[in-house]
Amino acid sequence: MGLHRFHPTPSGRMGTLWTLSTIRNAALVEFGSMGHMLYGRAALKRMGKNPDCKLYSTHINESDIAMGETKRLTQAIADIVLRDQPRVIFVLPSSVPEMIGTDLSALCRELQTSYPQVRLLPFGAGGFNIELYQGVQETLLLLATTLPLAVPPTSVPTFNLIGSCTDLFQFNADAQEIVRIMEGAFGIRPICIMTSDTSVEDIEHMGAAHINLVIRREGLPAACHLQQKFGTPLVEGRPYGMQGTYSWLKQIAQILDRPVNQDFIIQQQNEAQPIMEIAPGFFSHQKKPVELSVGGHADVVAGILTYACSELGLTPGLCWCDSPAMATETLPYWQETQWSQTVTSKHQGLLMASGEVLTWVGRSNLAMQIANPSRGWQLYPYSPPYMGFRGAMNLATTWMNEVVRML
Amino acid sequence: MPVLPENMLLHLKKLSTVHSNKGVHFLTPAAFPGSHCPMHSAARLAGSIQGLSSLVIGTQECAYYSRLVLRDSYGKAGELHWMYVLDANEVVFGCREGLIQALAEMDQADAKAILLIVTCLPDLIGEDIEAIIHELQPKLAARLISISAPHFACNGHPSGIWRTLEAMVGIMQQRTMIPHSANLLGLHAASASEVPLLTSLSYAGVKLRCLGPDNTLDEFLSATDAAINIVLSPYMLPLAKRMANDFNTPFVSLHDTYGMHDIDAAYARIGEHLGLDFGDAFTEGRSALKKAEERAAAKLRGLSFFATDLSLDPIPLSAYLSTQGMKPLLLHIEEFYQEDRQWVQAMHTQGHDPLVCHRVNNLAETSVFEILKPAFSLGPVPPSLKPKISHVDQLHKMNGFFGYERTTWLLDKMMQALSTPASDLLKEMI
Repeated sequence: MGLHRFHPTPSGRMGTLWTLSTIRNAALVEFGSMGHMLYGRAALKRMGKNPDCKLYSTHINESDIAMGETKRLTQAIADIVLRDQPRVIFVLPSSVPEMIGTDLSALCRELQTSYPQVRLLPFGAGGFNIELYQGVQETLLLLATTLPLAVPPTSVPTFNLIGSCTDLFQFNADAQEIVRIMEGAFGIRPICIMTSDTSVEDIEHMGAAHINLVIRREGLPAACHLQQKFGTPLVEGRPYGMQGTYSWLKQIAQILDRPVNQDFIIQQQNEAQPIMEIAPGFFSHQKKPVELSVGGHADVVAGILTYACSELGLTPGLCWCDSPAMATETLPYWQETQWSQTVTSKHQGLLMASGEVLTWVGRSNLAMQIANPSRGWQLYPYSPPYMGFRGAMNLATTWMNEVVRML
Repeated sequence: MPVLPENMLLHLKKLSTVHSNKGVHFLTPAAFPGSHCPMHSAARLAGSIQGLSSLVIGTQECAYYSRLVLRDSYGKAGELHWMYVLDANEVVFGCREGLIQALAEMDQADAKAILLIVTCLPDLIGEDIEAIIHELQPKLAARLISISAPHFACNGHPSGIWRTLEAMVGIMQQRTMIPHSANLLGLHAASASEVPLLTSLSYAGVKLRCLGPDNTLDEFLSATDAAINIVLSPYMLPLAKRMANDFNTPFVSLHDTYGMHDIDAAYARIGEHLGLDFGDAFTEGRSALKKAEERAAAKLRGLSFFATDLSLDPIPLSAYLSTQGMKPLLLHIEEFYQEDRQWVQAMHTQGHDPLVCHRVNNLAETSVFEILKPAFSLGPVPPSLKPKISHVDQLHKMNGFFGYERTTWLLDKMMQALSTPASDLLKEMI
């Protein structure tokens, strides 16, 4: 950790909070100072989600810390049960209880007997060496292992979307595009969009789905658990590009043993045709090869870059990911010292990264943003996606216009 | 809405028994959303004082979320707003070495003055920031100041502001005093032209310097040349007290004076310090206040009230309203200042000892209103009770405003609220 000029990598605790904050018919109580939760709410709103889960904080004072007192949590849970009657209460530690070693799991076990109608679910990922994506992963897994009920498969095929979480930039738009495509290609609807648009009941019924679509690697342990428990097959990957999305659909078709609706595919291709007809030629006719540099979540970076290079003929530029746990030889993890020194205002070519990186290099076109932290508010609910057929069209036109801007 | 038992208020203390923030308990158990932490307000203030750099010291949460208010790492006038994040090892063994290196880097990057904002975790592990500053300061060109900003030591955020302002006195130096000069500490820009005291001071040739969040570091550091500090905000009082201690700059408080005689006395003290006779400059304002009090007397006498506005310093205000015959029942205290004790005593003398609380969930407060049944509220009331309880809002407009005019404004606003028919309140609600 140490000195930071820019946003540090968020903690696992933040990942847990952000992932749970969207679940309807639940409440979340954080044992810790209320200032943190207030900030968490503000950050979530900026990321594009007015929390659906009711977010509470107990606050904590010096006596609580010195005496290991947990009465505030007990009283808060009693009040929340009385007032909101949620199905589930998620219980999270903030940094101070984590530091002094408050055992929230034991406390929840003790309190659970008093509230048989409400599930108390303590969450971990509170350690000081755990970063954002590990928090997201542990949270998805814990939800998958605790809430789903033993339900039979739905009579008509359905799917779960695993890994659509608030921390990923434009999560709403991408999730909506996948839902649209699945409906068009197979005529099937989601049971659970885990977790950006879901409820306790949706998670409880996840086991009824016929397939789990995992759109980020952090969702894989949860999907594997569901496969083991319910026998639900899974497809991992983020569909980017016209061909990339079609290949992804073919994988799903094979598992579901259902054909892809070719009328829908033709319709999508026709819709994209004016763009796809021009884009490859536009890029190849530039004086110099058009380079695309990308920084962000490893799965997002890999997906976007593959589409740009294999379908549109762009050249890969600088590429980096924002998690040391996901780094590879070809996709290194760059801390702020590396990206701020390597990617400067003299950078040539297209650049897609966080709002913070784009601002640092003086790129004002925030349509090129693909990662948080963001400079602005992501409030508009109908932004164009990056994934899927419409995402392919959006990316291609965004890159063409960015080349025009830079000429 | 569930019905809560009447004993839900037994945990609250009476004002007379409270001596610090510690005695102020939550009105309802779970914060939704609650108050910001001191780091938030300190960071916001650091971002607005041109020339002041900052270093937020804490966990990833503190550092990441501080960017919501300190958006730019590099300010327009060369300020640096950086962060120091403790890793798992430093949480156990301290962050002294890393912090020294970080401050040296900020010094090399030409920070002029650095505010170290020490958040919950480094404060909890007892990292001795003052010792680090003491050791490091002689080696650095950047001036270092620090504030302790753990949220576990308070409920609200004001300590982040007043501690920052108070800490800035630590890097002030003695200057030659300009006899006819005054610092206006915490003046609200909008009220500057409306208050006759300022007009009179300007007319008498007194050099006035406004000091607040929008001023530069240099303006703050020049403050020691003033003959007097006129305190217009509770956030500024600790700075004035420290300047009085370190530089013998006298101060007069106007932020907590609402009553006519208190304002008379404060203005007279200002005149004495500056060697001025204001003559009849304040007759009009004084007379307007007298008439407002006469108009309000019949309606206010015996009226019970809550003070729920989060931006108020409610204790001196409630003490004044007690003199007008009102009965304080419950006060939201964002910050308990030691100087509030005189007003607690004044209220007690009037026979009032209200409950004190920290409001954290306006949706959960309906039962409290139903149990205590206030007739009036200085600040918001639960939505369902709006048609039943007269209330005034936007009281933050009183901050930085002062003198006879402020009290007149308040009384007029209260009278307006009391004369608003219930049907109009319903429309407001809809």
